[in-house]
Amino acid sequence: MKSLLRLYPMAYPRAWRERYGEEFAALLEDSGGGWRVVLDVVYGGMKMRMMSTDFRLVLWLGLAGLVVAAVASWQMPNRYRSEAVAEISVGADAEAGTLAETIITAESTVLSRTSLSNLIQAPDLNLYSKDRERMPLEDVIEQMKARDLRITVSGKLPGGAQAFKVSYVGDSPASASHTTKRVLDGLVQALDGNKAVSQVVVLDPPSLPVRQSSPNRYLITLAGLAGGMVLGILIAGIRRWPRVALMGLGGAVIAGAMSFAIPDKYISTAMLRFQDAESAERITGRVFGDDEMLMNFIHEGSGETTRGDVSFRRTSRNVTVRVSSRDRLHAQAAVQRLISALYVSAQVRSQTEAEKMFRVVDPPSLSIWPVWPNRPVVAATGLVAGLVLALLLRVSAVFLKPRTA
Amino acid sequence: MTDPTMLVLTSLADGEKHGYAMMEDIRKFADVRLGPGTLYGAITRMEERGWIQPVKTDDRRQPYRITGAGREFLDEELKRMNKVAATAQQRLKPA
Repeated sequence: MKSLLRLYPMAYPRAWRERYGEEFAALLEDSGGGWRVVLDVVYGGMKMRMMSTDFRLVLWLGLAGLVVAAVASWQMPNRYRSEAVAEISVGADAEAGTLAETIITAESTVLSRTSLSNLIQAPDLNLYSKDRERMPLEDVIEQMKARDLRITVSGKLPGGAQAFKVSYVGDSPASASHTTKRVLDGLVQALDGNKAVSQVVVLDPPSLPVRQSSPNRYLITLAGLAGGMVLGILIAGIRRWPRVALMGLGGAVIAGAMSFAIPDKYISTAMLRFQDAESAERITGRVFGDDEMLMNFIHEGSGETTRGDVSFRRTSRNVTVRVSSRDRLHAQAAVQRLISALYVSAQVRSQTEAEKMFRVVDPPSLSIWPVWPNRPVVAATGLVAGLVLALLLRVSAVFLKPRTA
Repeated sequence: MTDPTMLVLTSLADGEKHGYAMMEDIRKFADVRLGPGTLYGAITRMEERGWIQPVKTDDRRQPYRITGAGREFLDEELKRMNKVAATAQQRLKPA
């Protein structure tokens, strides 16, 4: 038991140990061991830590974080989730794998920018009216796709059928339910008449939510408490090990500054839908297989794009083209020129004929933020590198210190 | 009475003592076993408040003495406790 008492300094704050450590150790030697003594020492150490400035700082900042987060969470508007489930039965003429392709095609139709733009601006729904006042419609659509609208396809049901779920998070129960219904109707319409599908049955119609799905105010309040405490621990750490903190900060600043020497890279994409998978393969093969022709088209505006910056992805009759560039406008223009190249390659004589061959589901996007370099990540990497270096220097200083007899 | 502050001040009232001597003294006069952690928690608080102070020594066992402020506090507390005890005794007497 006495060996446990040798660990007592860990229980007490450093400042206290510096003042009372020696006399306290002498008292422990006199007192002897026993669980009662060990528990009393540990309890005393905990109480002492609670009285320390660092502990109070962590506690107060944690409480401040809790209050701020609680107030902020009550300022956030309620959001409601509506869900609907439907089942697709496989058609008698369907080939293996075509059902999955059909669902992907229908999904991409419903989630295309054109379709979502119409949905958002529908007078009876009037979605994101406040957001649209301060953000371009393009960004509102991206936000809707990334945050609020989900179409998830489940595993296969008995008989080869497949179920899928549509969910949408809206500002009111009615808005969420009506939007989910509109998206579901769009999917059913897109699947209707397809050879791979015999019928689409709505298993659960769009729900009318009773409670809000977000914000989770308890979770936000707890996150505020944790955030405040972490900040307190960081400040206490900086005060205790200022050199380590300074090296970490230095690493972050250097890495952050160096990241500005790396040129930005923007990406623009567009999605096209061909009349069938065969023409998609033929026409994209012709354009992307001939590097010289491809680059001639791309370089009409500027010569900085290389072949490696241009790519495409084909899924059945859907084709996504993608160009990366240092200039976001140039990336978008290059995608536009690629689409022109596909029109030329399709050897069509009129716009009507071209639209039969393929149509642009998603026009070339204009990226706001560069995809590379991710400066916060670079700075964070510098911070970690600086902290690790400082730690290594500290450890090596301890080992290299000459031992006194 | 189990308040460590009062026990330590009472122990030091008749002269300076180091930690282990205080523990033994308290065990004898109050029949209370103070643990080392509890004792030094009380010593830390009382030194901060100026009720006790360390005595110069070369020994690892650090003796403490009660200060004037400590005596004053102990005196006030004893008067208050006596008053409470007298009231309780009076009220416990059968009518």
